[in-house]
Amino acid sequence: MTVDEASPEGQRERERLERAWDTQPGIVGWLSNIHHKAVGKRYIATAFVFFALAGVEALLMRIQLARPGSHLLNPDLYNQIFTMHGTTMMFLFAVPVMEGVAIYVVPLMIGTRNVAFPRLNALSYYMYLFGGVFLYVMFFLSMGPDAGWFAYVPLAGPEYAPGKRVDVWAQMITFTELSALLGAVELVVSIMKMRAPGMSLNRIPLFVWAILVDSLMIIFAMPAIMAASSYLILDRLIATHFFNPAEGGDALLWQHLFWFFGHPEVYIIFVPALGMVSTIVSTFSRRPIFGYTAMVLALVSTGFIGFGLWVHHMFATGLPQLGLSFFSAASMLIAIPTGVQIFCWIATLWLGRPRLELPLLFVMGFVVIFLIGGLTGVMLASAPLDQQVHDTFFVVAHLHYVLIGGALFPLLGALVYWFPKMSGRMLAETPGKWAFWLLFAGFNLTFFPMHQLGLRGMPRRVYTYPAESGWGNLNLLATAGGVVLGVGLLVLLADVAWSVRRGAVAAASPWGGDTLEWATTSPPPEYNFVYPPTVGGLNALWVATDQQPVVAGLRSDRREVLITRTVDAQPDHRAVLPQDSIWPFLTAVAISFTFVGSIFRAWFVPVGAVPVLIGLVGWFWPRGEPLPREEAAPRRQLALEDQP
Amino acid sequence: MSFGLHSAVDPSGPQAARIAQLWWLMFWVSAGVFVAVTAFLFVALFRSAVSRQRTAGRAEAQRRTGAVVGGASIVTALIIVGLLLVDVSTTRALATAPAAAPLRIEVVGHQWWWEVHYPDETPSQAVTTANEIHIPVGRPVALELTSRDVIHSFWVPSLQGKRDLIPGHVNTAWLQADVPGLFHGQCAEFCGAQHAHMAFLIVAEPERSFSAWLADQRRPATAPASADETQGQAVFLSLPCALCHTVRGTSAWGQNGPDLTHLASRRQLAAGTLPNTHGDLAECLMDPHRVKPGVKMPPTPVESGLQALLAYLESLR
Amino acid sequence: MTRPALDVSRLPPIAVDSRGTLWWGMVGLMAIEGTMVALLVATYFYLRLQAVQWPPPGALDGGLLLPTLALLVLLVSVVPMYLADHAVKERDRWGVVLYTTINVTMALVFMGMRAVEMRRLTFRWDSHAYGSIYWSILGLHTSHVIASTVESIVLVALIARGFFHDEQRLGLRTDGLYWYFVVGAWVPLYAILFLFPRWQ
Repeated sequence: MTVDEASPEGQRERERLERAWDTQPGIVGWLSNIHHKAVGKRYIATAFVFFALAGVEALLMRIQLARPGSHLLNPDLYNQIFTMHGTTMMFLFAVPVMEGVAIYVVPLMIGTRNVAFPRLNALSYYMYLFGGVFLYVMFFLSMGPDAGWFAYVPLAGPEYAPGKRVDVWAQMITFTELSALLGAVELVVSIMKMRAPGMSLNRIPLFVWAILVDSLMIIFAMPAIMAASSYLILDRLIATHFFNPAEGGDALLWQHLFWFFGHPEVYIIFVPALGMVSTIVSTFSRRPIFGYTAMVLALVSTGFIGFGLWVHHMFATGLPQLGLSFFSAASMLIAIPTGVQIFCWIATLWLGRPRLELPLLFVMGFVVIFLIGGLTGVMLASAPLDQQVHDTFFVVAHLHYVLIGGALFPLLGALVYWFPKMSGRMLAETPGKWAFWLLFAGFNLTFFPMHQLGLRGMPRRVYTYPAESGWGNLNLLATAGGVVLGVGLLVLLADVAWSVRRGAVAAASPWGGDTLEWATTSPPPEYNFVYPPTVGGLNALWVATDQQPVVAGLRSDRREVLITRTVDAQPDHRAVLPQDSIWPFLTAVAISFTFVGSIFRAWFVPVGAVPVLIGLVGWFWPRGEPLPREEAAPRRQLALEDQP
Repeated sequence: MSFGLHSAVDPSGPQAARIAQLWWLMFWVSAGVFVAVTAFLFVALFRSAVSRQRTAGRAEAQRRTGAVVGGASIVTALIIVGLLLVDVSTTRALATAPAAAPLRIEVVGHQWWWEVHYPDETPSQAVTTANEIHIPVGRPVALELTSRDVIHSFWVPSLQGKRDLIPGHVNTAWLQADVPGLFHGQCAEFCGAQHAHMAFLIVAEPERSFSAWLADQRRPATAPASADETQGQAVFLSLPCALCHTVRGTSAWGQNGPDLTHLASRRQLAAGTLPNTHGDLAECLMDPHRVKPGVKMPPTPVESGLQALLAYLESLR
Repeated sequence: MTRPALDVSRLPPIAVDSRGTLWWGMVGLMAIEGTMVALLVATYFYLRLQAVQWPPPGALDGGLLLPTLALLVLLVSVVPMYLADHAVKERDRWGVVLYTTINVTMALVFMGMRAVEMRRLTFRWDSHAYGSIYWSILGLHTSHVIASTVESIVLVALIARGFFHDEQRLGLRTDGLYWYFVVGAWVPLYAILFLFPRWQ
């Protein structure tokens, strides 16, 4: 049997799909939209709004610290600002933006039409949005947290942090972690069960592998901070004693739980970036990534080892020597899989025919900056050296080198790369390159001096410092760099704003990429593909011939997708995805009502459970006619021939 | 104000020196790795088309590249293992108690000052002071660290790596200065509003002058000599100061704030925030919230007695 | 352009077992909740390491009998859930309703026993750190029991009303899966809260 999109039958198929996958207009329609591309773009846009807010907070700090003895910000405001900066960047930008890119790209890259649980996806987004809004509303009401993004007890406990500030922080965590956990389950199930026929495990693109590893990390790491923040709220609101040494609790319990989450958290941010880098290096070298198996193993081992490092954040707390050495060892060993990846990328460039277009330029920036960050990371892994530079500006330098270099630069490269797919237009290249150089120079000017500052004794989280310390000049330099960095970001923003409306119209595959998102239009229709693709090898589009089959026979009068087998991705059954629904939004409102209220009064928990239950019942209520009984045909084994 | 030495790469004691050695080793190794990897990256990116033509598609080039990648990975692993061995041996060296009999000092962290004790077998010989720690040059000091409120961290970059002061725990650390001098220390764990102004000073002096200092500190407060000082003491004892501060030898036995018995012997005020001068002392008394906004000390409700009070406090050498 | 087609129209439109996405989603939820349980257990042992006396004096006065009986009720409740699952596979609507109702009844009995158990405890969550972790474990587990039971009640109501299509069948099977998790998680938690302190 054959199909042809351009034929009259193909056109009719397209029209039916348009109707089945259509979104409703108006506010209710917008709130009911459960398409992964819409949800993904909302995540990304929202994340960048928070990024801008956190960037302003950073600039305020840099201006305050530019000169010694500055009185621009009083200590209380400064402490709130550095708390908000860290909290916003880590919880409201870095993880959600990676999540958003994954939600947009993964279903396209695996050749399906939506994620496995579209309404859950929408709920995750609303929970994230409401959590972030909650935090900032409280901040503007002067009830924002001020105990650092890490909220160490007893400083963040009931005795030393009166009022609701830290409760707001702890509950915002609940919002964002719930969102991330649901998103992670979503992605794991989608990746394992909805891949294109023929996309067996050894043919999964490296970006999808990265998201799979990342989502599994989220599932096992984030409960730790859920537990920690719950204990904190309980200690503060109903006088439990988890962290109260006077009644058998321990201040270090917080640190263990926080960092058991906190260390994997930075890999949760970093691993998707590794996938992005592999995608870009491969496409712009015009050849497959060198050492696919090694790359997959490197991703997986990074995921595993990342769980065994957390105590390196606690080297100054008075641990026994054996503990120091063990965690030093683990923290250094994780450099090895990352090194393997860097070498494989270099090998890919070496053997390929690289084109230094803007996405690849960002990746080059990533390698240089992240390399420095990784090397200072190996330094910090050494307990004695860490005991000198822990909690100083040396660590501030390190963390920004690995997060901005290791996550932001790849992210920007990836957004430039997928910009044509998302918007249907090409990003103007020249302003983009200007932005890149401003970012690269500004970043290094801002953060490199901070290594020096840390070694020369400047601690973190100080709102000012004396002139006699001699730290003034390097701080001034760092602030100047911060301004350049800010200008670079503004140039990039302007480029995006202009190109989204006036950029050159993009073809389906402007870069000649090998993954399946390039097999459909830019931007794709709501249903992604008229006939979903199948895959005949790794680097799907590069090995595909005209004879590569497409999937036909999915019903187009309702939202149907193909579910395939976990290991070999052979077709297994069909599944119906839900119509647009307002219930995820309403349920998110109900949950938020419960969460916000419960930091003021404990009875909000049982009371709030009622609207949540109503939301869930509405969500799952069987709708309309029962499905027509289909013939219980014997399940046919369907298999694809491998490409010769 | 003399700030004191404060650089981890300019060590003045054996612990910091050991760590500085490790730092330089790691720095040069990292610099080498950075240069090598960046060089390979650049060549990979900018290799001439001719050179690529030679290797395009050839299985041999693929295999060679695989060998280079594998080799680089092994070299990476070896470097890591090497650094790890140096690290472990440094950790062990720093944790090992020095041979010489140490001087014991107990430090208790408060928001936002340092309570310092020099214990003695004879309780009456124990010394209590605040924010300024004298140590003898060349002798190891055993620190016992805890906190009365939140987590703080004791850090003197020129002498040693930091150690946290955690309520409910007692941490130990070693310190030693090999040369006399002033060494700046600062709290290195965010502890609230005035974390930025919680510094301390280590004064390392030869054994003899250290013993003299310690003997001095053991004495109760100097009795007021002049009329001004006597009046000042009366003013002091009539104010709420005694609720928080101790002046040994008087009825002031407050435990919430720094011990003032030998206040005038200290070089700095307010945990390293101000030099100990007449004007700065007056400011600390009259407007502590301008010096350290959020500090727990209220402004001193004295008007006409201020000069006498200052005279008294300046007599507490 | 013309391409060969892989025709999937004959494949079943839903899978009511472990091949389906909802099943996997439930496994994901169990992984998350399981990690939470493990963290609570880790917290318990961490706090115990710090303690001079663990449990604090008087903490065990609540007795062992009632919790043990409650555990037995919970374990036995797995049987009707298993039978309900079997009935789902056989498309036996009234069998499903019967067995799920028995399971829900047993869950309610269990919750009643737990309420009595809680009243009898000699310490509260704010008495000491032991109390804090004890009540937290109890609280987390109880909320899981409640959530699972409510889910079962809603589902059985829908099924009794006539909605017994593939979605409801799959829903009940995943609900059953979650019940196994709730019961399974309680076994080690029971051992840690009730047996371990008496035998340590």
